[in-house]
Amino acid sequence: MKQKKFNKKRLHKILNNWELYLMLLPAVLYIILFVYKPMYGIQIAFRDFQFKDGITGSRWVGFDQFRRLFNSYWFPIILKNTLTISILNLLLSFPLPIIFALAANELRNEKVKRTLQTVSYAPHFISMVVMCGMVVMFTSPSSGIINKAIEFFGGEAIAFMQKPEMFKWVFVLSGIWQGTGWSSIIYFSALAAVDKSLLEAAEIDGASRLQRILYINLPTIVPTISIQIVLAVGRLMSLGQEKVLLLQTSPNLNGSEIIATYVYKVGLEQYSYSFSTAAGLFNSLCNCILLITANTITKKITKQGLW
Amino acid sequence: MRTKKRRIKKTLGEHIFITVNGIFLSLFFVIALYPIIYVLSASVSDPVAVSSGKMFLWPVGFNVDGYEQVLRYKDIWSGYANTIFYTVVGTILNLVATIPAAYALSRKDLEGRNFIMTLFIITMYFSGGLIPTYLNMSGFGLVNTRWSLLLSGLVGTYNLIVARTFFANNIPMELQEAAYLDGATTFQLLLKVVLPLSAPIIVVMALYYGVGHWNQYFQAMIYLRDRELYPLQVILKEILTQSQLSATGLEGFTAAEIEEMLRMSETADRMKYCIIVVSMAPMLAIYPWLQKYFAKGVMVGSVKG
Amino acid sequence: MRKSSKFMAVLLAAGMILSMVACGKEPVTSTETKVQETEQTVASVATEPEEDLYYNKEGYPICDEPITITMSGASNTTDWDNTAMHKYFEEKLGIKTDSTELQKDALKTQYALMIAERSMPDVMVKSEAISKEQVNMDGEAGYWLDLSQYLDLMPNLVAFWEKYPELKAYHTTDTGAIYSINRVNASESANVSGMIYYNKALVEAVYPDPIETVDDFYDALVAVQKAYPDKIPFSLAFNSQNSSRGDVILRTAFGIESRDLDYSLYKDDSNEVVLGETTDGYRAYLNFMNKLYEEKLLDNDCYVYTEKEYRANINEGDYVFWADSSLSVNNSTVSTDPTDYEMIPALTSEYQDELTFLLAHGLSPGSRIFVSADTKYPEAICRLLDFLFTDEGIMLTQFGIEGEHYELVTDKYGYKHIDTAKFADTVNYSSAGNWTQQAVVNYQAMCMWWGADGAWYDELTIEDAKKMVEDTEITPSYKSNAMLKIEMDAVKDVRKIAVPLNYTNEEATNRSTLYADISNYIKSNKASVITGSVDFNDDKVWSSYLDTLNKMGLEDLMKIEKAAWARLDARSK
Repeated sequence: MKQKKFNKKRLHKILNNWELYLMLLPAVLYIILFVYKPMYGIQIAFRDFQFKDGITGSRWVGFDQFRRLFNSYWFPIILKNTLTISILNLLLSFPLPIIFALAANELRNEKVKRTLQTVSYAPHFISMVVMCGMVVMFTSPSSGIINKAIEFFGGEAIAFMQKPEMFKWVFVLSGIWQGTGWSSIIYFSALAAVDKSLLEAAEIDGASRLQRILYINLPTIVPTISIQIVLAVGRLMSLGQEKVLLLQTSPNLNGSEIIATYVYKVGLEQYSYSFSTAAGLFNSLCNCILLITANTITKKITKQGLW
Repeated sequence: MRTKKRRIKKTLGEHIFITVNGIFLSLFFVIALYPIIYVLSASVSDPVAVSSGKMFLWPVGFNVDGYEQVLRYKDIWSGYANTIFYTVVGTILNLVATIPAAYALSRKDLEGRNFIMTLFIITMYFSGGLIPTYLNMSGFGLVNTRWSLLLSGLVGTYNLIVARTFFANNIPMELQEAAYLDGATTFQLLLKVVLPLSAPIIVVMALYYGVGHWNQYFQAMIYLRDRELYPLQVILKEILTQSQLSATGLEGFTAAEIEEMLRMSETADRMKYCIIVVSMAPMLAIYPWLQKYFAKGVMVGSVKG
Repeated sequence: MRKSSKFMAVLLAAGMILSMVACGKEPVTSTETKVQETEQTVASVATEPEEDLYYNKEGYPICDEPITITMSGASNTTDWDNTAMHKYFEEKLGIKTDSTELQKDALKTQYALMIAERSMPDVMVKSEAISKEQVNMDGEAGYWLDLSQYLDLMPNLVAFWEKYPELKAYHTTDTGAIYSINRVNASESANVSGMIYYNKALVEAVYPDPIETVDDFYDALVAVQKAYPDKIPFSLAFNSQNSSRGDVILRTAFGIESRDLDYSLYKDDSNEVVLGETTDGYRAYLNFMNKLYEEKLLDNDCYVYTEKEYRANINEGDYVFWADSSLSVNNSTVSTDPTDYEMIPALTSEYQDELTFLLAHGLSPGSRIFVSADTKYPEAICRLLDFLFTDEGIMLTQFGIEGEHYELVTDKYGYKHIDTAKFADTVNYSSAGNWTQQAVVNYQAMCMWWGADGAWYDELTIEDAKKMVEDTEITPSYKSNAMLKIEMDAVKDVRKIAVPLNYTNEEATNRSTLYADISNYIKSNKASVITGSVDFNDDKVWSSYLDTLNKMGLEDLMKIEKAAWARLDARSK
């Protein structure tokens, strides 16, 4: 009896909100038709995919492709590198856009602020190849500006691009260089929601700038930050190959080979869709677990989560 | 305005803050400015000087041959027109699909909200892969049409989540309930009450989607065959590939073949930076204009008060 | 309650995916029927009565009533159908082309999609990104035409392969099928690429003795370093395929007789297939390179340079010795006198007692042609392929039409050269060569016998070569080739390396990860030894290197390679 009543109430709620469902319709239709419909392709990871047999007709090999990946000599190395680079990237490149947005928000001159923002976001549009070319130029042991500076201060030139242990720094710092301005956009937009009257009142009460940032501006953008952090953690394993390949040299292979580049190299001679799909699926599963964990933790702390 | 008059004399701490902040931001400014200057200078320099690292900040061997070549290169202009089309139309479609969905998902009274959210989040991680996705697109008869670029990536889960978070946190429920009491339908509520308060997030969404379309390369490469449909990025990529030699990585080319590749790469080199400048310029020009919407802010505060 | 609804959500999503899996069956079955259909059409074509042929069995045009074939491949931004070569096909052979130029970067992906959708063009050309293994595999699966069935329509090709049995062996799979035809670099001058060059005046001033052994080379570098402290004694760029070929000279000097850089298979003196990277010679080679690196005789940026930086540095004269594929690749040295430079084609060491030079096999990865199994015109296309091996076809596909795009001029020594200068449109194109490529021959996409202009080099006598070197009027690039001739004459053992192997599908699948693992390990290890972070002088380090290779499955990999090589030998007979 109780159950029935509940269902009725539920139905009523759904009918009452029909407009909301209509609003969802285009997006839901899109993911069903264009994302879920081809999703049967995931099974390629468990088959030995051959074009002539098609996806569902190829031989079922279970976890063979995964075994191929896990049993490889390189697997511990690429897993470690993928994780090290990603985590370092998260630690360094996540807070910086927030700090930058908070700092730039303190600028009183609108023109200066706008110029700064535009300039900071520009590197995002410069092609990766060109950006990496600049990085290589800067880090050259003989003529790079960084080594010139090190030598000026009495240090010894470092062959950044040849040292496996240096790779993660080169990768992450150049990423920060290119991405901070772009990533800060979301925080700028969130800062627009700061209650101006509250700021004024605080100023009159004699709160310092730092205090105003910490107690008014920052709390306003905390929901945005927490969602961004959950999403960033959930992307930890999806480090792409493009930039890594551009910065990779034979001497730094031990520090620069990641899952994506390894899979790319295996596929160079011959297509191995099953293998690369399996590797992709492994990454996705790791990401999923990370996302759920991060979401649970963030929800506990900030009451803000994806679900 | 009142605050200005009443402003208390800046304390020492305030001065330190402003100085430190100024130094930090100036440093940031210089670091971010450098690549722009580099690309601009490179676009008017002798390509040999650029690739050998002789050009560091200011142009070396000033010339505008590259731009002349770009002007004569008709693919670039058709690519430009296509890119503008994909960006404008594509972004509008993205917004129309994403914003209402994000709003609906922000409503706590939406039955099945978590289920729908889960459906979307799954798409962040799992996809059918290249071949089934292509065959699916091909099944709809969309391959080699403009629709393939407009429709693929219609709703980005990441964007959906960001927008949803904004709606959930920044649009007070009291306001919405008040609108309902006034007899508004949900659509009216969205259009008349929610959207006007959401300028910053709409701008961010437009920017994310727009820049995504502007930089789109992979989908175009997969779905398009006709050169007339190519966006600018495909042309740019074509030229970048030609100018990169080591990427070939194949043994067995003869010296004469390599010589030919080198010659081609020199032509490509000359155009490379010019195209980057040309393709970047509109995005830089539009940003300060979009930014105004951040500065204006939302009137949430006044509503609350 | 909330927990259970979450669980429901996950369950439903999973159900959805599963139903998608089920839905997915449909398109695949339709492809299967398509395969059968095409097999039937091929069969019916073969049994058709002979009177009604749409093509001529011999003579030209191939088709009296012009046909249109679709063509695709990696583009260089030109409109293929409008090149002089394609127009010639249309007018003289009766075969019109309808080309779709694909992006170079996208080619591999596009290839997969066209196979998946079974929408291949009639002919694929310029497809360097698609390996022969891939084409053979998909050929066996019924996507590409087995050209061996049409050999009776290809007398010129057959005659050609009779002359070069190793090429036939390369193209034929183990089941006797031929799915692709590859460009071959004909002349020796094209296949000697890869030398160490040096500045003659600088070196002879401090090291006048001949440089014949690796120790001589080392001594010369030391002398050079002392005398010219602001110059880099020796440089090569490992990132550049072009320059790292100079590395082959040094590797050969240590007995590694392969032109591959990180995975050197060859037959040793006892006719046994070995991997060069496991030999003592390799260990000595790496130690030698490390010594050069540590003493800064070898440029310490050798692993960082891009092709262009490296080339710019050569032009600036930063190096005394350097490695490159030829002198003329470097534009500015050619404009000066090539006799200012000297080359080292071979060196000896305790691992290589004779001056030995390895010629490339000449199979260029740049061009590979394969034909769709679904084409309506297999015979006409095969005749077109055959045409590419006629004298006319060879010249057409590389230079265009005589008198319209090039002329043959005879120099004062009686050798013939190709000259395009008179005809080239250098207003709209950056150079004469560029014009030929773009407007005339579509980047030699259909050229299967390449280097007809190098024939003069092959005929060149040593006497004439010596005269040419002294001659001040002769074109620098010819002069540098004459120098090459003289240098190569001094090398005792000049031999061609073996053609690449064919693998069966099963072998290829097993090999892909093994090969990736092992060659990658070799590559990273080689770099570590040269740059000094791993020390191969230490026996323990060397044996642990070998151990690691074995653990990675070197034995299994070598088993595959040996079997493939044995089959190649059998086919070459």
